[in-house]
Amino acid sequence: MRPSTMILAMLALQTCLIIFLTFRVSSVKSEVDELAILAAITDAQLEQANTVPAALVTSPGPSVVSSSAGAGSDEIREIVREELAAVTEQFSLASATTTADRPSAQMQNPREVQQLRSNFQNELQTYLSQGTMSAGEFASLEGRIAQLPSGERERALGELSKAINQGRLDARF
Amino acid sequence: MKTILTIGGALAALFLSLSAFAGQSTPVVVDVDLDILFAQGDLITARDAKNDEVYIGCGTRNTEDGIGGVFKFAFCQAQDADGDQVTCFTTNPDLVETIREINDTSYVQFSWSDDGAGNLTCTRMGFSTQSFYLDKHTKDNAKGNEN
Repeated sequence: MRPSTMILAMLALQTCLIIFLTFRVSSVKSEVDELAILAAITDAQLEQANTVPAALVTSPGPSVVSSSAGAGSDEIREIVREELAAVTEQFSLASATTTADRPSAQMQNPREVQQLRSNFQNELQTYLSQGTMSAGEFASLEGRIAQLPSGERERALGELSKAINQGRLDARF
Repeated sequence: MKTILTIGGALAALFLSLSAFAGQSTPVVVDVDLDILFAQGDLITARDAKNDEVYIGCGTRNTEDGIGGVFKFAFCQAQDADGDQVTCFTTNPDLVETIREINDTSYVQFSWSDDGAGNLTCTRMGFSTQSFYLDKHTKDNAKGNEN
């Protein structure tokens, strides 16, 4: 099989997987919505069941109905809770998978971030020691900054800004 | 008759050369005010300045982050004839986008915030492109400006 055919096949497979995942997430979402509606209806019924026995407390007969209705609603509540927990777990798993598929600088581990930061610092230090930074050198440093997570990028630009404005680095871009 | 034609031609040439300098001209020399954290100047006046240290401008950089995204930031820099200089950066996407407006005849102004340790962040950028920022060159002032 030629490399271009293989890449096309892999792209097609990846697209299918993304579509499947999107469908799965939306179906889980709709299940959660349905259960939320069910829970709201059950709560309303329970509220109604709790008010009726209070009104009928003077008559001895219906009190039995009241207690049995309470037991039934407890069971319903328990079932709804279990279902909601299961669906929520499923939903969060699906969301986690989607996020993992999407590249993000925020997901780099601390050791990796530390290494990237150290790379930036070392390169900046080189330019500080020579006192100037050419456009090409700045381009290289930009690449280092771009690899950092969002907050670290701001910090790196801040350090660069300080170096230039304190007169330690002559750099015009 | 020949004399009249010569004089007429000379007058016409003078008129045409004068009309080339007509129109309002308001060059803005580069000024970096470190007290109010504000810099301004037009690019032509800055480029024609007699002082070789004077400059002003802004720019953007867009760099792939290696994991599918693009890191975008903008910066502005200026130095005036007094030697006051400033360099500020921003990652604010709206400000980064604003720099598209700049061109080589623009008047540029920008402001910044200071964390007190020299870390300057651009907080605003403004650009105008108007005829009166286009410099008039004269015989006596080849570079057009005094600064």
